[in-house]
Amino acid sequence: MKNSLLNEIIGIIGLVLLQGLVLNNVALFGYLNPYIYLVVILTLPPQFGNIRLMFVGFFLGFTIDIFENSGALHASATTFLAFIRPSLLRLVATQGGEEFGRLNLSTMGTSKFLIYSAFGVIFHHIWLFTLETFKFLELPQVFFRSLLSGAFSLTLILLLQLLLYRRN
Amino acid sequence: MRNLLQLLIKNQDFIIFLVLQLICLSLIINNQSYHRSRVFNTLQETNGRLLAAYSSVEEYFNLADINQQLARENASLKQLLEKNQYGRTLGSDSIVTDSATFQQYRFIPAKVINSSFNKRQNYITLNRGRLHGIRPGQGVIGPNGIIGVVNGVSKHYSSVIPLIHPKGRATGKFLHSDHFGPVLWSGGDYRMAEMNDIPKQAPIHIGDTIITDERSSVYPPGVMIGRITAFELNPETGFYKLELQLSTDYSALSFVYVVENKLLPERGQLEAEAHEE
Repeated sequence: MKNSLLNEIIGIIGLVLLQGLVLNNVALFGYLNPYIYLVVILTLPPQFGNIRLMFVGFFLGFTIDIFENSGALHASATTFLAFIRPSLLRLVATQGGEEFGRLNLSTMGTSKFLIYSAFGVIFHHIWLFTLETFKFLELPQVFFRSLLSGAFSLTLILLLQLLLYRRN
Repeated sequence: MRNLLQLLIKNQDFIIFLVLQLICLSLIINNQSYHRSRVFNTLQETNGRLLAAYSSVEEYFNLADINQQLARENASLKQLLEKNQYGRTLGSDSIVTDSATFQQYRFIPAKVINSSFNKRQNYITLNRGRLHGIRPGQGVIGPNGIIGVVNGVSKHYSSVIPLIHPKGRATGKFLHSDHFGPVLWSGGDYRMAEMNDIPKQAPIHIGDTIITDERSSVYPPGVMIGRITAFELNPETGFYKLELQLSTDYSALSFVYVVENKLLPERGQLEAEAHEE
């Protein structure tokens, strides 16, 4: 048990470093940024507690903001993702996700994990880019950008999950 | 109270979400110059639009008043036409030559851009100045009556001392008789003024109209000053003191005319020479 907690923390730190040092500097076609750090919020255990999850989201996002020097954009978006996670889980699970035990590709099954994380990623990205643009007149561009970046992020998240959980 | 507490506990997720989002938003707006400028610009624009909408609505509601004011002003202007011409006032039997009949008074339209009425020393600022021919000492009249005297002039603006100022002076006379006296402001109500030195034999009635007199070189003759609301006889001097209700509403000034008396220098010179002897 202790070992798994340690693993979890190391995993989170690794993800944050990967996001902050490598992926933030990736700009596909000039402006498509993948954000995979939010997989932490998606995969924390279902019995974690919503309020704790929101605080984790806030501080996780804030760490990314420090890397990107972006005020609190990511903190806001990640807090939002943590806030809507129970509703997202209700899409694919009947008991708030408790029946899976843990939330990842192998426990949830590919299709359910795909639906769950796709919605999470797209909502997170829309929130993030809306806040970044800060103009409600440019919402169509924001949606377009969220869709493309979201697809990019989701691909990377799935690849990461495949790498980590395929063996079991 | 308990219900409120229960409501808070029931929605604690949402409340904590809101609090965290507020923290984020304040951090973003404080640290990101782009977001700060967006917020600032939006607030400013909203403010400007609100003000513009408000003033257009206000203008609409004032339309009836302004129409009435314009009609009255037109009427008085028509009356002014004849008697503002020097030479005509002498009657038709006088010799009329080109140099003897000309416009004695020129009216320069101006708009009030700043004014006060509830202070002890009130001032008015007009959007016309030296470039438009305004000089210190010229009179200012409005659609309803006299307003004041120009005391300071810059290139584009001029400052006016209204009658409702300790230095405000005008010479008034009765519309129906030729008794005259100085009009000044007693310093209280901005709608009232007093007029002194009216002799005992003058016929006075409440509601009599007081107009400007030819003796004043500042205003053209016949411009309304106000109406008598009260009068009392000073037993020691034997003169009446009148209370006037001013016809100009200093709390609602808009378009005014600055009066240039083209014969003023000549008259001033003559009077000064005559008094020296």
